[in-house]
Amino acid sequence: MLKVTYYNTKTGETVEDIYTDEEVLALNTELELADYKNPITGKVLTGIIGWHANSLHNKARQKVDEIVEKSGRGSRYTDLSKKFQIIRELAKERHELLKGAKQRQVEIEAKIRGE
Amino acid sequence: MANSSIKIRGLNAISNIVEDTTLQLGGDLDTNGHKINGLDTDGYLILRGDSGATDDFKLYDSGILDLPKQSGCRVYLNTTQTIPNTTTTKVEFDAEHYDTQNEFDPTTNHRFTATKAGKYLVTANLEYVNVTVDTRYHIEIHKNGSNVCSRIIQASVGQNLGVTLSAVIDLGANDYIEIYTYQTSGGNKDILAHSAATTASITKIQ
Repeated sequence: MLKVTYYNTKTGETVEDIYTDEEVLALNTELELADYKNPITGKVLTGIIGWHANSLHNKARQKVDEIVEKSGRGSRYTDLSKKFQIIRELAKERHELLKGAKQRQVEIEAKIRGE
Repeated sequence: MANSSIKIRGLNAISNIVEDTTLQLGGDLDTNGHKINGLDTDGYLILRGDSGATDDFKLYDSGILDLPKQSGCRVYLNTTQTIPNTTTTKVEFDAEHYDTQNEFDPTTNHRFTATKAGKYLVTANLEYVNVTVDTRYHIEIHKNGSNVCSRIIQASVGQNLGVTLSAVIDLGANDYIEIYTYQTSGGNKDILAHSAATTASITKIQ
């Protein structure tokens, strides 16, 4: 069995997810040698968790690049620390590009209902 | 024209076809059969996504197909990489000719992570510098960390040696591809940093 624990350092919320022995056996036929190196911490995760981390961090990398490019303040080739600086600036400005999906959903539904 | 047709699933979901006129589908939209029959001479069929700004799919009447947003990249080595003796080593491609969907990470993990499942044509060439005669140079494609295709070349002359490999690899969404190498020269060997020499291309073909 494999248990993955997610801890939100801002809210303190902990969420656990479990992969059964059967799922682990099946996944290991393909993912046992997978790995992922975190560009910020340098930490390397391996196996199923390494593959999972690569999936999520790759999505994060693409979204960061997309937001930075749409902001007109950088490109995907901008230094990573500079990209994060741009994201922080956009957040500080409450920029539209960083509006959360939840908030956007509320606004769209309100607009549809004519509120 | 009777034999040429394109089937469209979920035709009623296409909202921007207002009517079937010669300007749009050459008058050949068959909503009952869910087909478009026969493109006009010099005509083409275009499909666009939500943004509407760029063609996602363009089929000319000649049969030529444009997929300008199709997953694919061509990357290269911009910094000389030293490969230790008898050590399987990832090739750290660090620059891009193109990367249509931003699926290649050239900075940390040096890998292509597929957005969508499908068959991907993977090709790579490594230009080893001043190889040692009668020693071996490997090139490998790794999927999710595992070797799925490899090739070994034995050097016959002590000059630069290009080691090339290509394969079609079946990927699921979020599966990743890397290029690895291995050599048995007895010492370190460099791979040439050059945009035309040490490169890899990955293209979704199906």
